Amino acid sequence: MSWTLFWLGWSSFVAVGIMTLVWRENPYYRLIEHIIIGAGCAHSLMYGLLAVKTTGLDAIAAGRLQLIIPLFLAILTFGRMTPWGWIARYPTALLTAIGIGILVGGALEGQIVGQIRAIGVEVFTAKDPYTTASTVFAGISTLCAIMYFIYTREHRGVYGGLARYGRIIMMAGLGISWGMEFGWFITALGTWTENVVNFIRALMGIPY
Amino acid sequence: MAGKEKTVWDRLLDVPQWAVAVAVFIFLIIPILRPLGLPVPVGRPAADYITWIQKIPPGSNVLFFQEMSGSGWDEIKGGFTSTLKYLWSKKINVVLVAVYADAVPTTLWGIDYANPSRFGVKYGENYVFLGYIPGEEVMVAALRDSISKAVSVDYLGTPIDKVPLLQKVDSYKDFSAIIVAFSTGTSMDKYVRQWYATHPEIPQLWMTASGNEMSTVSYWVGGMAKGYLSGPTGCAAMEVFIGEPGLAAKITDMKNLASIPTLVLVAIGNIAYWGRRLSGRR
Amino acid sequence: MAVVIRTQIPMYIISIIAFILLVEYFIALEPLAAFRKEMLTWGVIIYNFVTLLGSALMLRYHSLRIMKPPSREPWARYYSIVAIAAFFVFLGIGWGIGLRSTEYVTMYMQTVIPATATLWGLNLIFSTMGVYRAMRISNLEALALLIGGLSYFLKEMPIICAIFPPMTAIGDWFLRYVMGPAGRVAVLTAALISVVVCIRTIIQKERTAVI
Repeated sequence: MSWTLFWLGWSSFVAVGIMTLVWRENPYYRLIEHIIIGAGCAHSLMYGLLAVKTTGLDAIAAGRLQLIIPLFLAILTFGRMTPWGWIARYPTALLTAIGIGILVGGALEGQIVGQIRAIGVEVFTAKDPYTTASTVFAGISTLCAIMYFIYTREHRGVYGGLARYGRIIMMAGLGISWGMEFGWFITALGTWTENVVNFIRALMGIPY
Repeated sequence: MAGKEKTVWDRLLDVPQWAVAVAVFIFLIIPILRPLGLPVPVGRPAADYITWIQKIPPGSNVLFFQEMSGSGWDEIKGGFTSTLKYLWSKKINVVLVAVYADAVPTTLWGIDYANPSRFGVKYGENYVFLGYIPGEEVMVAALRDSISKAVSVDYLGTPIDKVPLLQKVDSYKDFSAIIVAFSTGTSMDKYVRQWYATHPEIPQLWMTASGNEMSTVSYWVGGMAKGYLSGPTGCAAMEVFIGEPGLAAKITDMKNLASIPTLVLVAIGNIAYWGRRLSGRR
Repeated sequence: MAVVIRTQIPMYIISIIAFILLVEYFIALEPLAAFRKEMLTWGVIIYNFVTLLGSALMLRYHSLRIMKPPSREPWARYYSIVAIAAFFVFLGIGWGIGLRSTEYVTMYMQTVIPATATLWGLNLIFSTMGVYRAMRISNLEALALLIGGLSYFLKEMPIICAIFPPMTAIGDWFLRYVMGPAGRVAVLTAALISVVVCIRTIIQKERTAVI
């Protein structure tokens, strides 16, 4: 038996184990589930330790002694597993601070101002009547959808009508989002169903 | 109610799950046994991706963030490998980074599949894999400022001052574009915040699973991403562009029939719902 | 004193460092830029240990389950033995043969990927049941949901695009001019909420980071 056939069979064994969940939770499924838990944990641990070496220890050995401070703080993270769990708040606080510091500026420019600016740019750079009409429609839809999320004003009358239109656009967007997810499910299940079919073909001597 | 006879509408609204599962698997298996091989539709985002990747000058450098693993890997592996093949065919240097530990094996598999030796490119001179660097958004920001400060060795353990390509590239100034294979519906936000917000002149090309497209579309429309490959359909467009349909094109074929049970059930559900509602009024 | 050490000092760390990094974004000064670069390196190192903590907690949980399984589920210890065994097999091959070896990469790709992908893919069946039961055209919103879904669905099917070529253009129109606004509002809302929570954390109105 070749290694190709072995791995084809092993991956099919794993995939079929997961597929049995359609019937109900069962020992076969739980066996595969726990194998994955152990495998994922080992993988994260090994790469985590490697990253500690490459980003921390090697840099300290190369002369960046100030990195001893974050290394010490990082070890405090394990305080969560001890009765003095509060010491883990120090590395968490530093990580939170760095996250906030780098997030706010970028979010303001890229996600807030950038998105609002894009509405205007789209409309004023449209080259033909069809694109202009489409971009105006998109701009109005965006504003109405934003109106829907303003809860400090009652959705009544004209405002209520526009907010409802915004809600309809959001629902259409959610429908598209559903279609997108659906395609992903087909890919995921289809790929490994094909794997199982190919394994059966291999056992029967049919080329695949 | 007990003893009440089921109408045809009630029966149509009561299709059991096992029947749905059997139908789904049958429609998945048919294209596997008999591929249809239809042409892949090229959507606008994929067309923009292909247009912009052609604008990257030969001999320049690209930073490639790879996040994808697990369930999404099958969605983008075609786009990942075909992008690498294209970049190497144009002698564009690539610095690859795994954003998550899970993305390392998939990256290695993808590099191996793309077969760099076929294009005459050498590790260390034309492409480098930095391995997994922890930190997510912090890491993305750190690499923008200085690769040498964020990491000291490449994936093989070679000090970066001994890697020829990394002598030429260190920060955003050295890259003509960044390519991202991101993994979740909000992953792309960090590239917009840390790269686009500070350096909008550096084009970003994305690829992701189709389910993550919701926010991606708004960034593409807004110009933050110049183009993106979404799922196997988008990735198949890239494969066809380079003339080597394979991984993604095969998956696209499955979508032809696998969607039929869903469409049929949606139709049945609505027909039965309205049938029961209208017959109930009479 | 305990409150100061356990809560207030971490909150001040967040406020001061986050504020400096925020100021650096708007004011280009070399010392601030150098401080940011150093903090980013520190963040990478600390983040790494947070991921190691997950592995440590998992090992502890399953080890305890082996030694003392729950009374309602005594066979749970055998599953935990499987998890720990798989952990050591992957550890052995990863550290023994090498993380970048073909053997390890193949083992990972043929074990973890099929499981995670298939688990995700099973949603196809559950989602099909869900839309069968829930996607009813009962009002305008439901009709919009259905039309939006179908526009993308049919665009992704090569057979439909072969029979009806304008489907790609129709699907692209919906993607750009219907999904675009919806996605834009989602991004804007999420970004505004993030910025508000971040600023509230800096001014210490939000204490969830230290709880």
